Amino acid sequence: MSSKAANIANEYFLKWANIFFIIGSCIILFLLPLWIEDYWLHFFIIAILWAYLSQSWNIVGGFCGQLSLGHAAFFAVGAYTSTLLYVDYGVNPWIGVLFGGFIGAVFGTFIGFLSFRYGLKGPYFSLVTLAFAELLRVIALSVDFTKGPLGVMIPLAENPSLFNFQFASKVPYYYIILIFMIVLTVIVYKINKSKMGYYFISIRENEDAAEAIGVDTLIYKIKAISISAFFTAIGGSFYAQYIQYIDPGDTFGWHVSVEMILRSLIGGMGTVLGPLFGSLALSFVSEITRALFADIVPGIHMIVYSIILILIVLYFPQGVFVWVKERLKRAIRKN
Amino acid sequence: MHVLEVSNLTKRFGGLTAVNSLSFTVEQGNIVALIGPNGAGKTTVFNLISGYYKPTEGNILLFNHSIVGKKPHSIAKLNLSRTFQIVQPFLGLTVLENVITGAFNSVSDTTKAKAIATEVINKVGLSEISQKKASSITLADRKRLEVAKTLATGAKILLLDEVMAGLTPKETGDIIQLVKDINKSGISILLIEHNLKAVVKLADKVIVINYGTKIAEGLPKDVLANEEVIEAYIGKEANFVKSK
Repeated sequence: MSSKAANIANEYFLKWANIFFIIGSCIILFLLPLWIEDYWLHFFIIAILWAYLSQSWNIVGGFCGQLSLGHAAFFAVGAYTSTLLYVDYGVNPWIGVLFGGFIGAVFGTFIGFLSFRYGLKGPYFSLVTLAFAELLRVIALSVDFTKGPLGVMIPLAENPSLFNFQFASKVPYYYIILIFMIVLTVIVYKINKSKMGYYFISIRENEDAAEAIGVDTLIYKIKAISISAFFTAIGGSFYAQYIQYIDPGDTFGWHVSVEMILRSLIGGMGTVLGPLFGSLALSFVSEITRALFADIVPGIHMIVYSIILILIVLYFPQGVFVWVKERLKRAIRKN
Repeated sequence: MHVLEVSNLTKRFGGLTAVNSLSFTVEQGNIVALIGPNGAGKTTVFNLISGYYKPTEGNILLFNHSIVGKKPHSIAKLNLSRTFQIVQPFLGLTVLENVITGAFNSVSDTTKAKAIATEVINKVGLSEISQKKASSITLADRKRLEVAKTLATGAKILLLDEVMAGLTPKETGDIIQLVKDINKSGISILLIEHNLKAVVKLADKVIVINYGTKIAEGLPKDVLANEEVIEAYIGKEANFVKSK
């Protein structure tokens, strides 16, 4: 075969290998509940929830290059909106979820406009988002409207069902978050291929150069954070319905923002599948370190986990998923 | 018709007057060169015209509409695009993806943008490396890419900022040909250049500025023989002009 024909054959093979891999993973994920029990169902629900949240952060952080350190704000706004609407006014949780998404988007637009209109870039933007989340956390702790430090509990419904977004078993929660994750990933994939996606990436790469070729960087940055906030808020509502209890610390907390970033970072920021792989990988590492080391000295598993994180960031700066993908591509090309 | 008309353009940064009451025009289909010693204010003029700085005084008319105070992306929508002295490619994207981003200035559909980008890439001579990441191509190719991005926007006037800086004589010759070809297709060009041989080959009109003020304007051979211009440029260029 001539070298050019071999190249075309290689690219064709790579494309189908990619598709096969994705469909295969989806099938395995859908069949998973057949093989695992409660404890591991919970593990996967949480891992996929983080994958979903990380993917929404990825829209503004990975693709558009605006590193928000305060995404917990949108997560919590979603959680509180749907929960308070249900507990105080009896609004159906599904409507609450959608409404929570929109309120999240409003907050996103607000903080985006405030920062970007006044030219905040890079670390200054990150600090403002961090401050914003903390501000909301303190407010949530202090006002009666959110029930303060007591938090809000979602009472068990008499007839838990899809209609009122409560289930006796973990399995329906698993499928819901899995579907959310897949839908969001498809949306991110589509954005990536569209004008908006190209513009987001150009802003990340070089804002001045982007402006010179017609990109309205202000509007697109605000779009990125609003879309990201919308999906993050929906994730917050899911969390509330699953755990059935929320409070300011759990939802507005700094650790929520960090976890969202971490999972994209480890998997591969600005890639479509990075957050999913990063999340599954980190969840497994966390689980394994806890199982192996937690007995030795309390808390040592966290040290091991942190060391692993540091090593990953040092040796795979583009993300583990990206590294694996490049290695596989090279191996296939050689054959 | 004046494609671009700059009148009494002034920019002050605090006490420093970087551009002082500058006036000139660019006619449809012409190549105009803006030259002057280092620090004369040429790139500042570009930044003012393309919307990165706001003029302190003066007016800028693009196709007879004032663009003072407009943001760069709005000016790009009005068919003026610029390149940068230090090339600014989107390093993480391929050559094709870089140009597609420019093509979205005039269309919203990705397939259409890809078609425009492919055509521009062929015209500019980058088709061999269209799938390579911008971070892995040579400086000469990055300069071509920079021009390709602006062409893809559908610009009718290009501002080229020292597009020949850092190139070998062969590469410079290629870029001169590229600029000529682009101009032949009807696109007006305003360029900043230190390479005076290139200026003589390309420019229909030359404007010389020094310390932000225009000191000469006219045909290349006239301007380069001007005493004041030679004084401003003391050195190699003066010898070049005398030996001509």
